[in-house]
Amino acid sequence: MEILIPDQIVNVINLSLYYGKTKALKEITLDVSKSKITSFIGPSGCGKSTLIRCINRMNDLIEDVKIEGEIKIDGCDIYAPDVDVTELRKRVGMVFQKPNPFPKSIFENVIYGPRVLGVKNKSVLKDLCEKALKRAALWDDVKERLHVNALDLSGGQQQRLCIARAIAMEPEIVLLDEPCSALDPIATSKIEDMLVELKKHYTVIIVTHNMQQAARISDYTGFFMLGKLMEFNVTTEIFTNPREKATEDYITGRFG
Amino acid sequence: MKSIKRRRFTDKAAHWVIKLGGAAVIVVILALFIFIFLEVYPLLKDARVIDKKTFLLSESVIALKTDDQQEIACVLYKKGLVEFISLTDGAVIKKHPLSGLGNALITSVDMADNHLFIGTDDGRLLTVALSFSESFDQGVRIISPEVSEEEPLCFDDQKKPLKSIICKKSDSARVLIASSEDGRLLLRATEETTSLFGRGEKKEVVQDITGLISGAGRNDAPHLSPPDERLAMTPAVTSLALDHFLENLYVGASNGELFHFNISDKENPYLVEKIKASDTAITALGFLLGDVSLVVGDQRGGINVWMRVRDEALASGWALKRIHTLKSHNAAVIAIAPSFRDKGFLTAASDGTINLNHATSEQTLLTITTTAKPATIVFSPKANGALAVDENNTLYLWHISNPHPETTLKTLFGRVWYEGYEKPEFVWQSTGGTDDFEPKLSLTPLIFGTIKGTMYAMLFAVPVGVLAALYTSQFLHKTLKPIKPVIEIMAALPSVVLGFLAGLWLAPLIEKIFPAIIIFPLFILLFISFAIFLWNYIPPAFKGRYKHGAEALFLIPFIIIAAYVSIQLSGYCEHLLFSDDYRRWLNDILGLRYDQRNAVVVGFAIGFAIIPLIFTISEDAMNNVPKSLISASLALGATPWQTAMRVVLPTASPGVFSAIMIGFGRAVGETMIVLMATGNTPIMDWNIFNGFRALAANIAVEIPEAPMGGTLYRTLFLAAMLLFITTFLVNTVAETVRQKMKRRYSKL
Ligand SMILES: Nc1ncnc2c1ncn2[C@@H]1O[C@H](COP(=O)(O)OP(=O)(O)OP(=O)(O)O)[C@@H](O)[C@H]1O
Ligand SMILES: [Mg+2]
Repeated sequence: MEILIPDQIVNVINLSLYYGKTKALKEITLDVSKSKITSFIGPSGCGKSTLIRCINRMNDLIEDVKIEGEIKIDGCDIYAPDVDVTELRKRVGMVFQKPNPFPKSIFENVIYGPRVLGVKNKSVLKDLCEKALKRAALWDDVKERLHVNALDLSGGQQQRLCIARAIAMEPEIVLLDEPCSALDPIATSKIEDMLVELKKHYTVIIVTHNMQQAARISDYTGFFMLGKLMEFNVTTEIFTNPREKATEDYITGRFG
Repeated sequence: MKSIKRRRFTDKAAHWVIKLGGAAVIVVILALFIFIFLEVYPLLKDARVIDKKTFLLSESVIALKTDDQQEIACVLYKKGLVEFISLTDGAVIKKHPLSGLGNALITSVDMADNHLFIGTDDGRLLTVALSFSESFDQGVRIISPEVSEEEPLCFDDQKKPLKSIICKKSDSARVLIASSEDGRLLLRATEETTSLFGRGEKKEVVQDITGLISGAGRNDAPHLSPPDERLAMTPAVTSLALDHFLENLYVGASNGELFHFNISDKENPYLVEKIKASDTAITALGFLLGDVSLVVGDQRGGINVWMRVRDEALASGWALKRIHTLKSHNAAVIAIAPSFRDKGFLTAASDGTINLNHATSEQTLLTITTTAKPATIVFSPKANGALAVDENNTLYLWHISNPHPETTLKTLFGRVWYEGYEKPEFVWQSTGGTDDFEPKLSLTPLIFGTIKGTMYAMLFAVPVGVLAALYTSQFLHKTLKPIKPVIEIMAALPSVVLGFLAGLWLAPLIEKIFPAIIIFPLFILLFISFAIFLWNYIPPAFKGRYKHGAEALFLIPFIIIAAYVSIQLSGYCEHLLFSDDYRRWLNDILGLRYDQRNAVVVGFAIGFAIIPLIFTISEDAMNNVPKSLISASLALGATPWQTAMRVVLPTASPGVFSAIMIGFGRAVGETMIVLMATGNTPIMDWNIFNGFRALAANIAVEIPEAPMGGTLYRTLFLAAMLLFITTFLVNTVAETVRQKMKRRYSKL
């Protein structure tokens, strides 16, 4: 069942993760291709978020987590002791399941990453902000009110703001954990268009519960169940010709 | 149905109980405020006349006196009759014609204690002693006045009328000064020197000292009568004042000059100073209680208070200065009557106005009038009444309520020129050694002390409390979290314990190892750098075992070593930096005095009292910052420290702000620590090595000294009110700002 992934940027090799004594991820191996969209699907609680969090080491914040196996980005093990986590996170941006803008102005939110990196020049920051907001398809909504509190935006706008905030740092890889779960169809399609656009510059990994979405935008799809990677293949293959029975049941809506 | 009804009833009842509770709290606070205000309010009220009585007398009066209870007035008629009049019904209780007067007329009178010194128109002096003896007859108090005369004394050899006269006595001496109608100034002093065997020896000096006025400087031959032309040039003497030390004689002249003579050596009195006190004639002089400040009234009605003030520019080292100016009368001042209680005095002008003044507070509290020109006025011994007789022979009695003449907003908060001070100053000194001590109640040094103590405490507590909260909430490993309740227990420590520790243990300790404390920051920096250097070489296995928090544990031994090294090097450092004695060095080089109990100690101690407060509230606020925000920040490549500073602190700022404000409120009101850890000296100096006295501690210190209803008592209530208002304002401002900030983050 091994498939050949071209132009690999992330390699997950035999990864297992324990929350205390419960094993949430079980010996997962997959590769992510550069400048492509890879989507993870699967029933609730199967470990998609856990896996995506492993890629930028956000699991470090959770106590009692034990990880076995390896994740390599550009061939380097990101769990090696000499890895600088903040450097890693600068390269691997993340958008969370729930929008979480800072209680600051829209402008301050978008330029948070560059600011932290030490960019001080006002005009540079303005350009970065505009570019990021345009890519996140939010510019037209907010260009008049960059200095209002981000918490005054609608939920969909907040989520796009979080995406703009993540890509303002120009990461190599963008991780998105169900970015559209709280959005209406119009906003969702805007974000989907955006992701397709983003693909030109970044590698995108997205977790979604929306089969159509995965089918529409992603190039590769992984199907998870109970912490196991059931099947990983080119999206069209998974949706038209699943090899596993469970995959077929899931995508046809027979359970999950 | 029934249950719905019952539920409604419970709802309603709960609603009302809660409403009532809330209202009760507000009512109690308001009542508290009103109570304090009512205690303070009388401080700033003017005096008022409670009761006024008039009695018509038969003849013209020259002097007047009353007893402590204002029940009996003693009146001296010009023609030589002493009469005691009941002030309840005007009945004459006793008459005593002065037998020593003969056919002469009374021209001047001086009253001292229970004596009348009477000058006559034939140059003689009569001394009359008055006394009121009390007896009880079937529970009724009967006051029976007594009069006794001494043998008349021939004062002026030339037998001219004595225009004004003054007499003062001490245990062993008596000095009489009189000015005659033809412009001579006469002195007669009797001194009794007791030899070793107790045999008294009487010495009498009789002198004509007119020359002191006409000639400048020392009078060489005062006993020779001065040439007539010199006499003609001499300004006419209008009034006299002599202090009870029998040393300083002041003479007011018709040209507005005020002469100050030193007569301590009765045989050689000399002119100390001559000043132009007024552009018109000086018409009245009078000492205030204590015989130091001199009230000068002039022809135009001006009233000024003069005092000798230290002045290095002058040879004598002292100069007469005008220290207070009171409201003027519209006509010539004719009499000045001091209070026997405070620095208050009555002044009467020829237009019949009588002002009740207070010198130090420079206020005229009351104006009362007589229908004709007053002949004589007197302040009752308890300063609660005034008596006057006018030229229509009407005797007036005013009962006066004047509880707080010495207090104005200016005396409470401004600079006041007190007797014995070189310039106006802010002074708090409520009690003194002598009876005629004047309480000095300026709240400014206390407000200053409060601000100073609070500031130094906040300077220490805010960074420590907030940073400790930040560390505990963001970096400390879960297993070390029990630290928080331990710090919270610190808040429950009674402040008296902290004050005790600070005053009796910390203050002497700091004093002993002061140089060590100066070099401690340097060593701590050095050792922490060293620790960080070492930390990088520690095997990760060891670090991993303790995760976050291990750094802190690792640092502790280094800090202890740094402290130890600084203490060991203390002596050496004192030798090197402070040339062997840091106290002297501070004094000589920086001009700072070092007190053992100083603002550093208090800052530490109050800081310790409020750190737990600031820590707990800020820690809670920081812990409540949503984890999603922290994750977002970390996912954007921020370090934990950047996350703490840029996300956690701003988001928790409403809570941190409340924490600081609550700490501030506590520090302002802190009493026991300030009381025990400072010297409670009410000085105004930012010097960190000096003590201070704070408003709250002051209340605790002074309460035993403050009789109920007195000025000090009410001033302490004013201090309480200031504290109350401050706390109220701080809390209100804090709450509004917090609400505003909270609204910004409410959508989180
Ligand atoms: N912090 C945690 N501590 C302990 N167990 C956790 C933690 N987070 C997740 N788990 C457990 O790990 C398993 C995988 O969770 P995860 O959040 O990865 O699921 P998911 O696939 O993202 O589900 P969903 O689609 O509902 O988001 C679940 O059984 C969950 O209970
Ligand atoms: Mg999830």
